[in-house]
Amino acid sequence: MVFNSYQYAVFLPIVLGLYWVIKGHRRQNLLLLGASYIFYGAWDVRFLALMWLTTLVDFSVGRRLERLTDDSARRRTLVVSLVVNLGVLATFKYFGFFADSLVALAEVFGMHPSEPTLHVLLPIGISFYTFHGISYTVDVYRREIRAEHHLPTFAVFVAYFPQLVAGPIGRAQVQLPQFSRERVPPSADDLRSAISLIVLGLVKKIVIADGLAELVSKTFAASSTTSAPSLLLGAYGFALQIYGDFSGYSDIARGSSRLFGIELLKNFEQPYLSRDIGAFWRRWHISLSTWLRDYLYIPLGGNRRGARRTSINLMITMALGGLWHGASWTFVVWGVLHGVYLVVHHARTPRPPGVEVGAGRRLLQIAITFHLVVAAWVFFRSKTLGDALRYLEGIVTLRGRAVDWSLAGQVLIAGTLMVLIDVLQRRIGREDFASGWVWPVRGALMGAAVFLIVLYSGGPGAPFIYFQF
Amino acid sequence: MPAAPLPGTRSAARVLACALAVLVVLLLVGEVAARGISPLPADRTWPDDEAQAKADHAQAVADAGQREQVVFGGSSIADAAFDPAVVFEDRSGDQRAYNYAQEGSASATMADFLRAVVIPRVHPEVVVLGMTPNEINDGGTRQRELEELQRSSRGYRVAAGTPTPADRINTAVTARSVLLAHRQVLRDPYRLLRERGTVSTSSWNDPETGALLRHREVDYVEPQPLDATLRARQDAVWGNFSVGGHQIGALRDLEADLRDHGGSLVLVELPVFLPGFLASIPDGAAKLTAAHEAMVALDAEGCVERLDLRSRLQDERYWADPVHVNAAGTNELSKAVGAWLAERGTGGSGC
Repeated sequence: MVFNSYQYAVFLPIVLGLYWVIKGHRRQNLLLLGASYIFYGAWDVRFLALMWLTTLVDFSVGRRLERLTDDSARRRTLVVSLVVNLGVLATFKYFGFFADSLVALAEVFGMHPSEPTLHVLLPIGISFYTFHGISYTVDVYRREIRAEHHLPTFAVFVAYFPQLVAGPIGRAQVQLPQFSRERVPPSADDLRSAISLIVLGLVKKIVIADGLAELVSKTFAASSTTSAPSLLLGAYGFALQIYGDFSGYSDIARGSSRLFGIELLKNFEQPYLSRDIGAFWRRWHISLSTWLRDYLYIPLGGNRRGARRTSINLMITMALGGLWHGASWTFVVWGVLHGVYLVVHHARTPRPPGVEVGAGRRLLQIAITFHLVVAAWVFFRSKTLGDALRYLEGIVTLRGRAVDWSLAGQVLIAGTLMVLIDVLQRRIGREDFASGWVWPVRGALMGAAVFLIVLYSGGPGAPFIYFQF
Repeated sequence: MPAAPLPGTRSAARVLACALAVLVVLLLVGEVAARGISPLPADRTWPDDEAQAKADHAQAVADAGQREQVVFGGSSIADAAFDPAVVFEDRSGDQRAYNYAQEGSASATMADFLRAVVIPRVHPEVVVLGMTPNEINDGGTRQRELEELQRSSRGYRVAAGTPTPADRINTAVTARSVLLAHRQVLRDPYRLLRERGTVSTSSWNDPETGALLRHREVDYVEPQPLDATLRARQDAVWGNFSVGGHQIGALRDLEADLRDHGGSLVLVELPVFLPGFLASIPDGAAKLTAAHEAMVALDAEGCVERLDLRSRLQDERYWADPVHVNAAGTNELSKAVGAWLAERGTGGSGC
């Protein structure tokens, strides 16, 4: 079941209605748990078994970690959780990738091993809920939170449907307390902001992302014969598509969750308006970048062991962050490229505090950062490294002059909408930027947004990109 | 006495009412504007333009109360090989025929399309399928992808009688609203400027006969070494070759369905240009042999008829590439099929 479907339009109000009729947070949790399993099982009920396994292991590990006092025993217990979560990920997501890479490596040395064959379905959202579990057990191990002793409450933290399949990646410190206390029905303000977020998310997904999906796919599929202007448009198009797709999903997730009285982490903050790559990573997929910072970069030593070690830590973090997205070298290269950007960014002399630059220079910085990000997206979107290099080669060698005007029109429409949304959010300082406007303007904006959704729906559509991760 | 609504609730109600009013006004204005600039190409509900155009053609034939006695099917190989205008050029003009073959369609995909769209609408007496190893490869990832793509399209679901609730809503609203029936072109300013005043077409196919025109004027070029991307694409079609139950089973099901409708199935074993094919397709000879054996075995079951043209056209002047014929090749193959059909007649046969 996906957010932009008729099924969800029926599912959400039913669950919401029952949720606020039921009294008591534990009963509400049970309802959310059942609804989450239905939501997830709608893809494939077999996937539920895997989630139950990680849920039970992490729940038991958390309780044991709280009881134990001996450090080495605690460490061994934590390892159980890490092995199970990362083992599940390695088996279901990365087995084929590692097997293929090992065979390819052996062939370089003249050996021809038979390739192991294990065809496993990739359970949807596996990268997200395993990271929920890891963050919980590590936080309990670090004694930053208490273990949860009520299994359904813990299970709903892992499986909570608004964030289950594509995040934001939940953090136990933020979410478990919300599931453990009584909730009050949303105020009129909460309702308004939740509905605004859902409508905004649908505009981003259906109008911006889906409006571009097919045209971008065609460009990447025919990259070896497409002209440079069209390739460039295709790369811009994908940058807009993935932002619209993923931030749209996050908006709908957060809006839906707010209706249940549960606040989810903010995942995006106008990333394409960033003036440097460091700022980009503080604003893009925030729940992942902070997760990687807290559970990988800082444990590796962060920036406390000198410039060289900081660079190595950044590269490791970004490469693994790339691999988290998918079992392919294209994602690794995407991560490594961002690692290089960040290393170079950290090596620059920092601007003296208080010194501001002019508007022209600010725009130039935004444009440079955006184009660095777009170049990396080409690796992210391409099927193979060869495809990505050919794509970039087509652009830098200025191959041909033909322009795909349909793509140009859609990039212009999507780009204008996205810039408008982001600039308004930045200027006003609120996601539901229209909340302070007079009601006729708010109403007209909402009506126009729904009209756009109607106009852009009914096409072939495209699944949410981050579902595959 | 009911409690007075909170100020926030009242404001929300006003916003909602205003949003509804704006939405209704925009929909009405959009509808009037769309009607003003129609005709427009309809939204695509099939995976590509060719499938859409051919499904639309079948519907148009049915809407006109007509039928087509002979229909052709297969992949792009049959799409290029069979030109209905040539097949029936020496015969009386009352013979209606159309080529429903589609690029990339293996037997299962084609059988699905014929059974869901063509047979119920145009009631053919004979279905002629062009066959090569490509059409019966159970292991081809591209064949599987295209089959899945077709099955998951709204056009197929509706034609096959298995629409989702969303399909039903879409079908209902698009039947009543010009704006909603032409959303794809209306949200693409460039297409709107170019295609306003036209209806859906596939630019590579002859609108009268359905035949693929792309290879007609192409001279043969020796196969070149492939780069990694093109090799991957070739492997997706020809790699992992296996003849099993899937594609052959789809042919049996098609024949049975056709028989129930009073029609019959003819399998034409199409030639490939052997020097080019054997040089470019790994294990090409074994694939050709396996495909032929499968056709002979199916023929031996007694339900389908088989026409073997494999040895024809072994001269590069007939070919655009090792598997697609050019205009000269189309002419030869279509005449051969026309002569065979003239001798056989178009009545039903089967077991």
